[in-house]
Amino acid sequence: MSAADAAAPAAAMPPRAARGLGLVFRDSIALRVSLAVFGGLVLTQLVGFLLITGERLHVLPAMDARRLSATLDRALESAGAAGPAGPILKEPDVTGAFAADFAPTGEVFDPPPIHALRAQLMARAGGRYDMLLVEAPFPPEAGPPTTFRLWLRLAGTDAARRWLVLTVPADLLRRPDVTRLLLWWALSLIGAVPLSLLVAQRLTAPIRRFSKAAEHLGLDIAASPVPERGPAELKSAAAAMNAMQRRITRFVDDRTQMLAAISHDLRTPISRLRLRAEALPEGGERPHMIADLKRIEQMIGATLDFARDASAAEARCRIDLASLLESLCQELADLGHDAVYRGPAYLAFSCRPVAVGRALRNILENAVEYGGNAAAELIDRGDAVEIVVRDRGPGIPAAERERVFEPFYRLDRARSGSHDGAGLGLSIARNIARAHGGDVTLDNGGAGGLVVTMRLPRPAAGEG
Amino acid sequence: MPDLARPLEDRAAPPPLPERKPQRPHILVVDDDRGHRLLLARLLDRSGFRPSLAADAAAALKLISAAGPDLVLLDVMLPGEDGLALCRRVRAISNLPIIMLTALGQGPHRVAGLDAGADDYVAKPFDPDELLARVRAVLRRARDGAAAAPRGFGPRGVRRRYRFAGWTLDVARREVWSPQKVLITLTSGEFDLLLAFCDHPEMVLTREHLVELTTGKPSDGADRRIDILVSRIRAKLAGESGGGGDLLKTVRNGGYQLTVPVTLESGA
Repeated sequence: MSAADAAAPAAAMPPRAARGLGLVFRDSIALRVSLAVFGGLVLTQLVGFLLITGERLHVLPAMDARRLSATLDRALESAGAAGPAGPILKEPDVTGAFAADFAPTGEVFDPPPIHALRAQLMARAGGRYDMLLVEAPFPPEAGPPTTFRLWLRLAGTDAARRWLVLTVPADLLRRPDVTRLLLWWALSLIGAVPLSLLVAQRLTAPIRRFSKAAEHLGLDIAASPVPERGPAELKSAAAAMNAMQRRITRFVDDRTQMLAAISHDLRTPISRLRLRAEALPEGGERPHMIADLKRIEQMIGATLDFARDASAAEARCRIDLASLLESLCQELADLGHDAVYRGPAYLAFSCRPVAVGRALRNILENAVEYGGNAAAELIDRGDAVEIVVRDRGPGIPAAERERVFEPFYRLDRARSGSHDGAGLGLSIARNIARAHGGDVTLDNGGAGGLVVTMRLPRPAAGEG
Repeated sequence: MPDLARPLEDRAAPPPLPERKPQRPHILVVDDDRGHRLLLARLLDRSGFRPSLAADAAAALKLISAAGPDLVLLDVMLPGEDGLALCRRVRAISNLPIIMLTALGQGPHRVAGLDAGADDYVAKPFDPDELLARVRAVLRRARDGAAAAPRGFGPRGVRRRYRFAGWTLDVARREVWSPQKVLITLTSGEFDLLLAFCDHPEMVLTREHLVELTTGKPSDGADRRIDILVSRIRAKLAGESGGGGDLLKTVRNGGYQLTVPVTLESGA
């Protein structure tokens, strides 16, 4: 998992996004983070929304009323000086003002937004005017009107009822557009969903990398150490994990070293015995002695293989798995066994060749030994390859199938006959398969016999 | 076995005894385990070889320069300088055939031994007959190699790698790599046959000759086996591109021929 992968937006690649979402929609850190991010966004947006609508609904009308009322005051003053009719003053938000001695002649209406303004103006008027009417502009404008006229009847001038007429921007009378605000708010929250998912993805990417590396380590203790980078908490967890890996590796190395030393020290005397046996007279005990020595040697070899595989020091390379499996079958056939290969003539696959060869040889030898024959098949499953080895032997009862993978475990003598393996073949094969991220499983074939399946996942591109 | 030990140990230092026929190949056994060393010497002596014995690298070097053995059986684990280091030192100055003996088993040790320049590698405990067969094979190869010099490969060296038509045949590791750098597995019979073709590139080899080259024994008439091995090799070399399948040509009434030139990388 590279930084570029982690940075890719969740929506950019469908499979990745699906995986990301799958990760989000179960109890996970990603879910918690995205909920926290989303919750925080909702909360701040809500506060902002309330502030803005509050301002639109209450604060702005009050400010408008105050300003308008001041304008009116000034207009009233100059109206007194200007006489019965005519323009009285120009102000920025009042495009026209005049005094009139006649009632409104145009269409008078009473839009709800004016109620609050009217109440405020009346309260500020101190009884100087007693009526406020709103008149649509005349002549009518095309489209929605941009201005209105406010008609204010001055109080206390009984002889000629005088009006003060102000032309004001239509905005003043428009209801604050809270629905649009609400729409924007909803849209921004919808936008926040992918944003919070993305943030959660990016925040949890180091954790996912860490868990992936830990998983690798679990499968193969020789895997490269967990990278010690990212947030401090993860760094220390990775460091602890790596320290554990080093301790386990050292332990395994020590054990391998010890076993190698023991087998080395045993092999030289066995070799001496073998040479001495050669000097014995033909016949008699000599063949039995040689056979026994051979058996001891095989057991030592298997034990050493078993110990060595845990450390898996071999490098991966691309091999033709088809020729490997076919050659193993041919070599068994050359020894007189019934071993056949079926599958593609060529299949390139990246693995540790000696280890995989040993695993397959163990499986095939087990098949001819206990089952009497081996029919090997190589199947390319795309993301993995499967090697299926069938025999026509007695098979293994379901209850025993997992136990035969235990090192040094052997089926009881009645079933296994007089075979003298060390009981390590399948354990070694499974260890090797698991070190490759795969596994070895057993099943009984339809027509009796055992079916051994070794599955090896194809390493991701760029990985070994 | 003191009774056996004395005469053999004595035989090591002085020049060959006069009654020993000079054509008996001279084998130097280097092993720190006294019993094993002596038993090996007895086996070799009984099988028509002339053994000398050394317990460590210093004694071995002295004997190599003084007696000039035909082949060294060299144990990997020696006190002081180990067998691998000794092998490299010998290889640096001569082509003396060396078979490594080890109690460490196969696998990485085998490769280390071959990388040090050994001609072959035998794990303890071994089947005495198999060891003798390997000794004879390595001696024969050394002779053949010397005879093969006029074919353009120069004086006999350790054959490390053959290259032909993009393919690599790693003789020491017994590995075959395709032009796409994919490891192809051959059975040991198939490998030996392909090796024989690489030893004799662009030459028509009869089935009888091939049997002899691969088994070291004269043909017993069962030459059909060569046909089977050739067809198997063709199938495996066909590989990814199908390009390697026709490298081995059938020559009517003749045998088979590797049709492309081969280059050899030698030396340790």
